[in-house]
Amino acid sequence: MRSKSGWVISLLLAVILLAVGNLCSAEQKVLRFSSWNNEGDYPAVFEIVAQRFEKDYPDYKVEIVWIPWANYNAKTKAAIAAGDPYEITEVHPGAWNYSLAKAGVLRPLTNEKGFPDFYEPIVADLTFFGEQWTVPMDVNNLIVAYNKTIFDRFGLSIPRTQDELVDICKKLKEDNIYGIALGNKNFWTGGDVWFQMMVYADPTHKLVREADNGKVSFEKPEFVEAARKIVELVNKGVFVPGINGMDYYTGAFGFFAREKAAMFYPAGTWIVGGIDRGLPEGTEWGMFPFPAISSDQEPTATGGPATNWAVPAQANYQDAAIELLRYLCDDETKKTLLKYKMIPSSPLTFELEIKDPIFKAMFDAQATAQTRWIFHTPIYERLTHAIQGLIDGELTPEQFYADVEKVSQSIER
Amino acid sequence: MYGSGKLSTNAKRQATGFLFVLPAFLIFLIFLIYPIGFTFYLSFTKWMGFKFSEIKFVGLTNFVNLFQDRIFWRALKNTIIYVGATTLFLNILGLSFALIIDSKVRGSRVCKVIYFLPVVMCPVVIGIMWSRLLDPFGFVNQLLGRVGLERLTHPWLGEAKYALFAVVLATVWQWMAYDMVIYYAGLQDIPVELHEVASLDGASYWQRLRYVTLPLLRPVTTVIVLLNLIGGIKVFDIIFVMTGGGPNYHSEVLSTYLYSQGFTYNFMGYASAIGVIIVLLSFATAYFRLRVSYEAV
Repeated sequence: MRSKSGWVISLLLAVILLAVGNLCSAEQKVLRFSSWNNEGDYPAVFEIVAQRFEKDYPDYKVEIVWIPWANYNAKTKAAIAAGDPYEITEVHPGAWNYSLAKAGVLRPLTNEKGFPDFYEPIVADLTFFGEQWTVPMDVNNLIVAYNKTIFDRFGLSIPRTQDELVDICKKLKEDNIYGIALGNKNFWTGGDVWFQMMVYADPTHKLVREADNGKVSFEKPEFVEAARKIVELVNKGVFVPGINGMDYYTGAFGFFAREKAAMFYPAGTWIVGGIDRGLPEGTEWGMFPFPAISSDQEPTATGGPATNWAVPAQANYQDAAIELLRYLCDDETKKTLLKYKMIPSSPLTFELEIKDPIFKAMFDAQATAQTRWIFHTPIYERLTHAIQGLIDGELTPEQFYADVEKVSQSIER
Repeated sequence: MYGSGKLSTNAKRQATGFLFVLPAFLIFLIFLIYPIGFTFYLSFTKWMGFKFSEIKFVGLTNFVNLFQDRIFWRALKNTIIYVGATTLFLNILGLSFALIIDSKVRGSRVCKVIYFLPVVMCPVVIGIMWSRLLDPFGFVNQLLGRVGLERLTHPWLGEAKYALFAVVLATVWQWMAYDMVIYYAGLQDIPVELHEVASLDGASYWQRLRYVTLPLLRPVTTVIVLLNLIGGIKVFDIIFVMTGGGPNYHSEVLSTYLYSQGFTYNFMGYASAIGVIIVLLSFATAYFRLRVSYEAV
């Protein structure tokens, strides 16, 4: 009897404690912060921001939810469709951002005060239908990572033109080292090569957006020139053979890390830590913008938002979520980003001397970085898939653009 | 008895049976019939997949667009090639290995277990493994280079004419033992006396195989071929992992195209139309296969 009543009392106490615990936790509101960027130093940055926010707003708890990239889109949409979206949702810029905005499932942030003045080209990439729908925490530009140790061994200097790049790749090949490792099995990297060529083929930097919006044809000579340049680079052996069958991380990046290729593209802030850890100890490396088509052009990178954040229209605690977005973009977070060699999304309001040459190269490239986004998903999809055909020799530049233009003309805008 | 309001014994028995079946039936209704029905409905609509209030009926527009979509036709063609190739090789290899194991040669029991290991592995893992093997600088090309066959090296997953067959190879490697096990079970059901009688009549091994084994395996073959066909039509994971449908849609199949249209680009109505095509194709395949079997009997 005694032991039986002891059990009953213990059980009652446990139930009471559980209820009290639930009651206490029920008072704390949870802001779910979803992201796929659990690599590099992003987790550390997000934790720091979350802790700062929680300290200033103790009745909120920030729960960082990691979702692998492969599932991210589907899970986010499922959450939105179920009426239970994550309060702060990372959104991939470009077509995905556009489609969510078009579906009316994001809260517009245009009139929200307290955000810094983001870089103008970045804002242009995030504004559709007259509203800005997301805010970027940091930005990226896509440049070529190169193995400085190999370059020094061959007495090579950074190429400024594509002809110089071709010569460098020929010299490297004599010693069985390849030029640029590019993993195009995942489609987007080939797309980035295309955007890069468009930077040089179109000095106005406007045609991509105009064609995306249906105002000009994709069959304009500037576009054809960009595609021709890609084919030329492939045929002249600039890229590792078989890039259509090589994926970005385990294939191309692994190739560069094992020093079988002297260069790797596209590289941005997300891969810097990986390159540091992946290359053999003592190997020096650096970065440069993809070389220009001609010598009278200044090498210019493409770029855009790196991490990009939205508050879904149906999210809970929207005001608090927007406040957390302000923390993501404030000066304290900028200092944290710089400490981890990431580039803030707005100009600095404080003095800073950047000593690290790699980070300086990326930071400086930001000022002139051009767009790498197509907003209309059918166009982006067809473009990135057809580039594989261009690289493979299956499609000529004219056929490539005829296909993309057909899709462009068929979509509703 | 009816007038008294009490159920007869038979009615009670039926009601009891119905109650036992009811949970499974509800699950079947909720997780199979309803989604298929809703997909069928969505195939006649335009919808981005978020708010039900925004579903817009568009009639046959999705199907009209689908039949004018060259990527759809490529995906359909690739699906047929994939289904045909995998079914053929799975059955040939599955039966061959079953016959080898049935012959009770030394080590066949151990081999049976080893061959079956890929079947219990996740297709995504298989896909990743084969992606590494078939990488332009992966094991396969390196081996070919080492034995002096460098001219046979290719970027298997990145070249249009090889990508789909690379996926077929990985699929057959994974599932061959599944067919093997079913064929092996079928072989055990063939009376030994029939082989003995055939041998006494002077039949060779191949004659016994042709006139005794294969005919008696027909019911098993019907089931396996049907499973292979249906499995091939709905393949998704291994292609998604190995090639993503590339290069330039040369390994795109109906399921991967459905995924990209519905879940990457938010064209739920269009994706549902592809889903309807997949279901119809599966039904047609099953009907045709069963009809061929019955006619043969």
